[in-house]
Amino acid sequence: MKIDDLIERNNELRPGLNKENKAFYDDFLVYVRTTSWLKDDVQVEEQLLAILQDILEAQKNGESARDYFGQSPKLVADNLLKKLPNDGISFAKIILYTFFGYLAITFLPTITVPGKAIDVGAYVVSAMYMTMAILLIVRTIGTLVYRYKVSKLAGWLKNILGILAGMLLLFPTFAMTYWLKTPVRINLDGTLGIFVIILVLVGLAIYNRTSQHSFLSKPIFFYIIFSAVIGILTRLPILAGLLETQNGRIILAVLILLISLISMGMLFWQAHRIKKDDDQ
Amino acid sequence: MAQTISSQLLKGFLQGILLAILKREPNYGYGIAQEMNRIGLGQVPKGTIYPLLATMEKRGLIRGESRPSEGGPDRKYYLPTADGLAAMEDFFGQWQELEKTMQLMMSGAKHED
Repeated sequence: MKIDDLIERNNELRPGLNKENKAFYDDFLVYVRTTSWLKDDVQVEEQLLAILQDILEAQKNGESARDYFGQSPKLVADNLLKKLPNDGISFAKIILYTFFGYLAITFLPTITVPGKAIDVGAYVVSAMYMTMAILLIVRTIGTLVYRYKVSKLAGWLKNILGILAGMLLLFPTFAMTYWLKTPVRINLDGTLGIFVIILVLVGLAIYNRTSQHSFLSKPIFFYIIFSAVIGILTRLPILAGLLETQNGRIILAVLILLISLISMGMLFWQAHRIKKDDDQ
Repeated sequence: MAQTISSQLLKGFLQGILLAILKREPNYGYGIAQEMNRIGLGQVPKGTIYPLLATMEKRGLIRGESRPSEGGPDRKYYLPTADGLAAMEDFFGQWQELEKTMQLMMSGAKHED
């Protein structure tokens, strides 16, 4: 069975778990998926699906996941992963997916405002750093799944510490975008810019449509499309002069801010809906 | 050190038990767990089965086969290989030797009392 089919089956079966078993299995799933990057991903998903099916059967027989599986799911996960074969390709896929995913999401918003050269070198370096930071954050979240619950720190303090650590790790990306200067620069003003924007947008739309799991969520796609529309409009000769006036720049800034806020609102709403569906 | 010996002993013991269960009929995780409960191993946390099955499959003692299950999606059933059956016979032989030694030790200890 292919990896996508295994994940899809897992997603279909998981809602069958009761609340207690779901919490138990979700922790196990997050821990295994985030600490198994060097392992054969198909075998990892096969094991996760088999364990889910067994927990569902135990649940049907009135047995809780913890009673069936034992008190040390982390130890079982560690032992299980040690026995599964390593696979460098799975790890390379994760790195490339994160790197190009980041480029896909941020490229069009980066070139929205014309009039300044794009520092491609700084952009690629920051994307490489961002890839490492995202992977480190995800890995840390997974590793802390079991430690987080036994920690004696107050819940709110743990959340604040987590957010601060995440911000600290992501800050260099934004710092690099502003302060790192490299000679690899391109100017995407005028017709060339419009052509590149349309090309990237069409590419993203085709990929998002044809891939089995749409990798761009609706709020992010909305943000990208509006960034692209603004990018095209401001490059049209008829509106090009607008950016040279103070009023024009203010309108553009307000528009970008508004779109960012709407996208963030949509993201929160989507996250809220997912959580609500999960709790039901 | 004592814990390592105990854990190695348990792994060897469980491996022999799993091979014997699978020799009787091919089975999957939860089915094997139920068989273990039936033969008096209800205290063993069943999470330990999964890493052990993965090790045994890696060593070629068992092989997995996808089969349809009752009213649900396919399950991975495990079957012992020829190497697995040989390992099971080997385990039973060793266990009998160990049992004889233990009987001698225990009867000796009783006489000393």
